[in-house]
Amino acid sequence: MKDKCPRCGAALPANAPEGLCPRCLGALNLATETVLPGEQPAAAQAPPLAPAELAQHFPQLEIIEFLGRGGMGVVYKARQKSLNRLVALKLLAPERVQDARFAERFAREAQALAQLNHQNIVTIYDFGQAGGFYFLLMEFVDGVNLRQLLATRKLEPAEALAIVPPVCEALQYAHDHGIVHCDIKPENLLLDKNGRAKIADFGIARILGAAPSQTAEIAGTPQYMAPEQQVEAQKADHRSDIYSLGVVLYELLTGELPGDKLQAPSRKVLIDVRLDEIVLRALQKTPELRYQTAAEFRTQVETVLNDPGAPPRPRAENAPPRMIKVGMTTVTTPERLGTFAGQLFHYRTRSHLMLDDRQLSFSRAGAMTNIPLSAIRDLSLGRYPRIMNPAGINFISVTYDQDGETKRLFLTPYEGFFGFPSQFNALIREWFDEIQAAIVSTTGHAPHTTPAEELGVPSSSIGLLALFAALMVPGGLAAIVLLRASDGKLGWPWVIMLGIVAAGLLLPFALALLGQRRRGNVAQPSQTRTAVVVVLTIVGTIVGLGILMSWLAITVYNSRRVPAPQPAQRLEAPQPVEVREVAPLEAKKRDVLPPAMIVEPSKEVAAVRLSQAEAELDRVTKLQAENLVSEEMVNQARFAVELAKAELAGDSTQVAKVKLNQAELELDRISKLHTEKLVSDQEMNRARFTVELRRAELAGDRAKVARVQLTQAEEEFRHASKLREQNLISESEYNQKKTELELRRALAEGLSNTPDKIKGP
Amino acid sequence: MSECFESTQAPSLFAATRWSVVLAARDKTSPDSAAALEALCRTYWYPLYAFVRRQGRSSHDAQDLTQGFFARLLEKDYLQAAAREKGRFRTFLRVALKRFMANEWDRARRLKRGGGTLAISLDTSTGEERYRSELSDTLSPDRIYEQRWAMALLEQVMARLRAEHTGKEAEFDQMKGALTADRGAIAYGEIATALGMTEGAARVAVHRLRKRFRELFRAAVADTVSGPEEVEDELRYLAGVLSGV
Repeated sequence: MKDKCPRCGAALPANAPEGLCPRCLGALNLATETVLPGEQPAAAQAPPLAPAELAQHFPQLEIIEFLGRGGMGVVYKARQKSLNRLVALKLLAPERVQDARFAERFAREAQALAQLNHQNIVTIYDFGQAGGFYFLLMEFVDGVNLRQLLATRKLEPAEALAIVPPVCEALQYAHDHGIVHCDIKPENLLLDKNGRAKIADFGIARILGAAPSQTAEIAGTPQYMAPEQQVEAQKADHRSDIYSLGVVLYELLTGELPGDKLQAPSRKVLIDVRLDEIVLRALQKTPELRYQTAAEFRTQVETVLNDPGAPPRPRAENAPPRMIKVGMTTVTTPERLGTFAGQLFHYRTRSHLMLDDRQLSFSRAGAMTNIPLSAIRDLSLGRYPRIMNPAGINFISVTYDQDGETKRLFLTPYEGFFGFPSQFNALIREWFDEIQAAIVSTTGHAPHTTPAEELGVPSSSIGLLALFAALMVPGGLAAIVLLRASDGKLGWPWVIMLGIVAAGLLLPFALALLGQRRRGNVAQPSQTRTAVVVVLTIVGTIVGLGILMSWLAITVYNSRRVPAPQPAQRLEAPQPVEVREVAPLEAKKRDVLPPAMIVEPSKEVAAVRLSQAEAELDRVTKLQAENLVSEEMVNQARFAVELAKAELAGDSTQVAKVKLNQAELELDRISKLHTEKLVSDQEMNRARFTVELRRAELAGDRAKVARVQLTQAEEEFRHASKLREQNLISESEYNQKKTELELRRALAEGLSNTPDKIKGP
Repeated sequence: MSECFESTQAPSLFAATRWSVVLAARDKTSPDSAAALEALCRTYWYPLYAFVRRQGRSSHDAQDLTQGFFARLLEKDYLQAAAREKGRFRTFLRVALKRFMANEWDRARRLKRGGGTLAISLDTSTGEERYRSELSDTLSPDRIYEQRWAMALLEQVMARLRAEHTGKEAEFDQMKGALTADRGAIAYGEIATALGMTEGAARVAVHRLRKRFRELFRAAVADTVSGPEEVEDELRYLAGVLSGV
């Protein structure tokens, strides 16, 4: 039977720390708690009484359910029998009844609220004492508080703003009655089912003009408190409420609390920039610089609410621009495009592209270029030089005036990296249309458009072509060298490959020629077809020619070449896979004793090992076919099979041979990595040692074997001592090395009974 | 559990948190940064183990892999890459492990056989027991990693909290339930009676405990991020992860 958490009701997981619910422990870190002054434990709370228990104290009410805790007390939902209406019953914890200070505040709250009668303030119906409690009878608000709402979803700016005017109205009303709330926060702002906002928990209300209590109390929720309120409560006035509301508004708009470095909300979310001013003003550290009344705050907010799409004012920076389209693009100029570098490094010009109703802008690495729509003289579509984009991608040419000069840019908007040319061109077309439409609506007329042929697009740079060719030739040669078959001959796949290489060499030239003939044509449907046909024909011819020539060349090559002798089968595995489940003890012995002293595994064991190794090879081969493991793993597995076969046959010479091969290959591999400094010297030495060891084993030279192992152990011990000085190794590891060394020494000196006596820690 | 790090940075309190010390250390063999890294690894090796197991490796492989990874982490220059990103230890560790598994695991398997130098000894055998006992069939490896991470952090905090009450274990046991109770539901009276103190004193003690828990939790989170601005975010993230446990 699983335990449940008493608070959240979730089942406790098996490894719950200290038997507590992890969920609640995590949530504990997020709670915002109102700090009450002078009390180390925050608000006193009694365990909630059962409704039945309560009922006897409140005969006039029908207690329905426990709602939760408010700022200072617990709240129940109830029904007033006489008037048949729903009410909220707030209780002060009974044990605090004796606390005069607390009772005083409670009474204050009740009387203060009783003076307020406003649709956006939770109405007080009654207060008093009953059965040892103080209680407040209030309007029941059927809804949620703002914190709960925020927890479920992020609000739209419009929704957030809509809450502010009624709250401001209520605050103004309260301020007019000389009452300051002092604890405005999302938890205290309720929203009923009709969307009406209500302020609750005027619990720490101070009545302006009343004598301040002897101990200057600082109360409120720290994150929402105005600076002057945090320092000294007496200095708090109605402007502190405005600050708190500012914090709430900031949080509603951006989802975060304003931190130490106050950032304008419009930098974090897409909202009207006029709101920045409003929020920042409410959040001024000095009360004098804020709105002086809640009514003023409200008016400002309502202005923005009612006037969303104002026509552009003379001062352009004030009116918010309307975003039309955003995306990514490459940018270049006609001059750059004609150069080798410009064509080669075109991909580096990626920028963000933004179109709004007033300008076209793109930014790259922080530098922003803005082109007012009214400055655009010409907007056209063109095509890139063939060498850069054989597929035929278009670009948008924008000619505009800036600072008295005429400038021209080529833009190619894109989305993602892969796609058909038609997809790219469709996007480019979209952008073209949008920019054109935006220009029309701003300036009233369409920009000039130049046909693609007359755009003066440079042709493929010869330099780039040369580079392309220069890359293909060594590439082809490298392919020949690297992939030589084992018998030295080159087969048919070679012919095809070389043919394609040759075609690759010649293709760019062909395309360049084509490009020269018909410069920068925008693909029209019929022209596309002929172009495709022509290109394909040329490509086909070249590939065919290439294949023919390479076949001739290869036939000549093969007839001259004598097949090389077959090298010993050298697989690349570093180490055999250890089949661990079967007799691990035997494996350990094998490492320690020279080959002649190996306890030969029984035939059954060897057979089992072989089938396990074969199964592993199978498995790994399948995985490798799906590219899930490296080639090395497969080779390892192959080695393991070889080894197991040799063992089963009882051929110790073969076993030794296989192991030697493995070790040599591993040394090869490690050496390569070592020259690139990818492995330590330690690794390198280990590989060398292993090779020597295997050689000695194959030769059956027991004494040599023991000597090699001794040298290796000495080396390892030296290394371990060094690490030990730097505290990078544990004592037990160090001792292991030491013991190993002693063991080897003893073996080398030919003491045959030592292995049983000396054991590691 | 106070560490005094002689960091070359400005003496702000934050510079002393573990991950930031590791990131700041230019010389990876400086004893402070090595000690800090080792402490971090000791606390958070289990989430990695669970991740590896969930990926389908056998228990034996997973143990080898985890040990090998940490040995490599303490040896090689993985930290150079991390310092550039200045991210959180949680994400760094997982990324580094994935890289390790892709590139180096084959070589690293020989560590065990050749008697590799294990600069950090982890109790990976208990990891397997724990892994089996935690039922989590439907979770992806990444998800498991995040959850076990959050739990590891939580356990660390609770262990510290308990350690701070040595000599007052009875008190701790009585009051620890208050950490997860609703604030209106804490039975101060019962606690007071059980511990033979006044109710007022019980309230104070409970409040102190909750406060201390929060401080320790925050400190533990700070240990794994690279700057104070990330603490809040990571706190929220972990609370979210824990709520799904």
